[in-house]
Amino acid sequence: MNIADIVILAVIGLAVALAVRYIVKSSKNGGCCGDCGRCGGCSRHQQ
Amino acid sequence: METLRNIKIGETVRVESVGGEGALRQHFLDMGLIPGAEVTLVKYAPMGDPMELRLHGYELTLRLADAEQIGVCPVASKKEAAKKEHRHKKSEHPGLGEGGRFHAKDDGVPLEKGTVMRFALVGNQNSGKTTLFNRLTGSKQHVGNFPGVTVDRKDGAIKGYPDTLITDLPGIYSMSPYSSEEIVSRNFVLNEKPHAIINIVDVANIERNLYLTMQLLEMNIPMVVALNMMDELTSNGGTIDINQMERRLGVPVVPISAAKNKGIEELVEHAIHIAYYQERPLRYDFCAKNENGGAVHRCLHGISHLIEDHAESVDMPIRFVTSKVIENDKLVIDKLGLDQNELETVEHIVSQMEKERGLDRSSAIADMRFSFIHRLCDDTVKKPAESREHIRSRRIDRFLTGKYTAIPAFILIMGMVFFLTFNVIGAFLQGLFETGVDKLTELTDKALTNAHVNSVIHDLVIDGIFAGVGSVLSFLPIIVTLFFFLSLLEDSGYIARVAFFMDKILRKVGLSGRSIVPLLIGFGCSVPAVMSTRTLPSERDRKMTILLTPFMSCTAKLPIYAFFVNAFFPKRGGLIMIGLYLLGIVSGIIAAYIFKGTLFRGEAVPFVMELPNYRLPSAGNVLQLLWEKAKDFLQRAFSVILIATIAVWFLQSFDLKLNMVEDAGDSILAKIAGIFAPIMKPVGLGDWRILVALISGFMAKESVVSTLKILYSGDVASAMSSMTAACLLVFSLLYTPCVAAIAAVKRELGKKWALAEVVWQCAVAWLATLVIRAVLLLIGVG
Repeated sequence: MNIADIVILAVIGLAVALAVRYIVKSSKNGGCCGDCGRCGGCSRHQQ
Repeated sequence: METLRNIKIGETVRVESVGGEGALRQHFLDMGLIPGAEVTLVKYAPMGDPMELRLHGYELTLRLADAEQIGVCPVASKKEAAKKEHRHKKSEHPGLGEGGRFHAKDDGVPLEKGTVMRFALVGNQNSGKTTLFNRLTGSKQHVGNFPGVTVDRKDGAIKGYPDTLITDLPGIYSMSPYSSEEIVSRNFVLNEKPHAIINIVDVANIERNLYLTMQLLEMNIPMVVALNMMDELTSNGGTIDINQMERRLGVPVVPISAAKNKGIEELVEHAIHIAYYQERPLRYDFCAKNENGGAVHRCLHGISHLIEDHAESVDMPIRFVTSKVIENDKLVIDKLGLDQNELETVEHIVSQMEKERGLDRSSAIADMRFSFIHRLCDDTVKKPAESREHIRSRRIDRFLTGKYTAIPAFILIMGMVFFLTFNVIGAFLQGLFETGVDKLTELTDKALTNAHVNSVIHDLVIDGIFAGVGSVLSFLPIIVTLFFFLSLLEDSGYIARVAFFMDKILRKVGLSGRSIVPLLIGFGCSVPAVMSTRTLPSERDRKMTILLTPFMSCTAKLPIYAFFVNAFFPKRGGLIMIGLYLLGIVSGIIAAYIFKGTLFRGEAVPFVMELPNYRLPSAGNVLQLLWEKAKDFLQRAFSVILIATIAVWFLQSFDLKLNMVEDAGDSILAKIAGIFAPIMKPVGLGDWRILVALISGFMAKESVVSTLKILYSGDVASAMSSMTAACLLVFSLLYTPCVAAIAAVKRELGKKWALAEVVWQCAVAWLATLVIRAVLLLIGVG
């Protein structure tokens, strides 16, 4: 394994970590029912 | 009595009675179809149903069956013609919502320093709320020229005021919610208790818009009225006496043009002022003591005193609650917890009012509001005879919704959209993109070889990531081009017309014309399509439309079609593409018939919809949408598809003992996919590589191509027969939507429906592929 291998693996690892973060984050954006006080079903009221 | 159904084109009649019941009847009344209103029949849809009516200065569509429930009588001469010209005297500026001059309430308590002021942006559908929201916050939400573009709330801070939070709510016609996105708005205003309301009013339809304003005033929340599209009114020769309107409504009134960014600063100043000082409306009592014998006035005030304690205990505004109790709004009545005696007393008072007024409870309240609005508009608004925008719309509609031209024009327009996307603009740009991606792959390959990168990592980068993500990226231009055309159609106001003339056809399969909008959006992407079903007023229609959306082939499937068509059927590309889209539509129609006879018996909801004027789509808006779609696609390519390609590469390169395999048939992936092979064998898709590609397609449809490219080491064309390719195309067209679309279904309908949709679509795809395969075998293909 040379330095290029390590750099490439690090870049791919970072890309995958960011991709997972993006997927988790976007899955939280639910639709709003307007009754935020009691609902808790989406994350919009926390923004 | 004559009904609205029997009048002739161009004839103007006066509404005598409004039939029907429940929420629909309330919706008729809220849209201005109240006893005494004058209605003109503009035209019928090309297939004779529904009809287009003109009332209160705007166009409304109504089915013949619903028109039959509205009793009418002839009008001798047009009221407008007989109306005398009002000369508006110069009135003094009341100065509401302005500091240092006049405060609505001396006892107004300013908010504590540092409190985040929450505003609700409320108005009718298609009145320009989202345009104003974008102006106020500097954000870039998509706007369209179709009632119901906003189906979800959106939040943002007003530019220059970080301690503010403004919420853009879906458009509503009244505080009696009719569809689910209207419930979002009503719930928000009632339960979230914003510090102030910014009520946007479209001056082109001022009477109908003020109907909502009056109900918002009843909420007793500080409010500012923004009269939008003032530039259009004044350029057509109209005027509004702003000062007098402000004085009569008891809240600040600010003329603006959200599209042209005029009056926004003044609006913000007023909004901040009333929110900070909590200046509530000066009045919310619009029932005159002597009007029509005063029956409605006595009824409102009598019930108001009777239920005051209940309204206070549940912290709801008394006037709003009283109106809703009279209108028999079950949600509000249940919340109040009135006892039997009180309920009976309410019923006695309402019965007496109905008797004295000669109108039923809901009509009487609607009539009281519209009477005030008419008096207000007579005294303060000078309308242009007919706006330029309306004249233009009328002319365009002669062709686009004409009896003999509407359907051919629709087919021509949609044909042009698909032709330009797949054969001309999109295809050309895709070619350029593909060359670019190939060149980049080549350069990276060389660089990795020169850097003596480990062969496994080299394989991962070139055969995994570049083959996977790269192949999907090249389809970006086609997707953006299709969205460009769909956005033009929506922004221009044409989609609303399509809903109008497609209503009769869609009703045959159990849907209403409004369902055409989600279905057309479904050709772009299933996620917004599922979201947009919120504009449909009945649960039955919503569920049915959501279940039919996957049959409309979304743009994410385009890479699959384009790839196989180029590889296997290059000479019949266009034909096969059109064939696939048609197969999706035909399968959808068959599914709709099945649903209509089983799960969703009964009739679609009435088609009551406003037809907006045609507008020239704004370049900024279209570009904004394209950028969002491109960004969304790129984010998917570098998130879901990146992970899927790396996972697929890993699983197909290693065996269960994590040794690198020579033959992909020994890999982990082959073992997993082998379990499902017997199920897929009858439809000709038993190859484990195809199965893996289809499973990865559940994450994102585009990754079907990338996975196949990885698994077949880039040489799919020679490793697969035309028959298999055809079966794969049909299966991909119909099988389960991607995980994002299923998540949207789960949000709208719940877990069970989402799961049912996955199973149902897979079953439909399997069956359709089996049939197609049998037909192809019979005619000797493959």
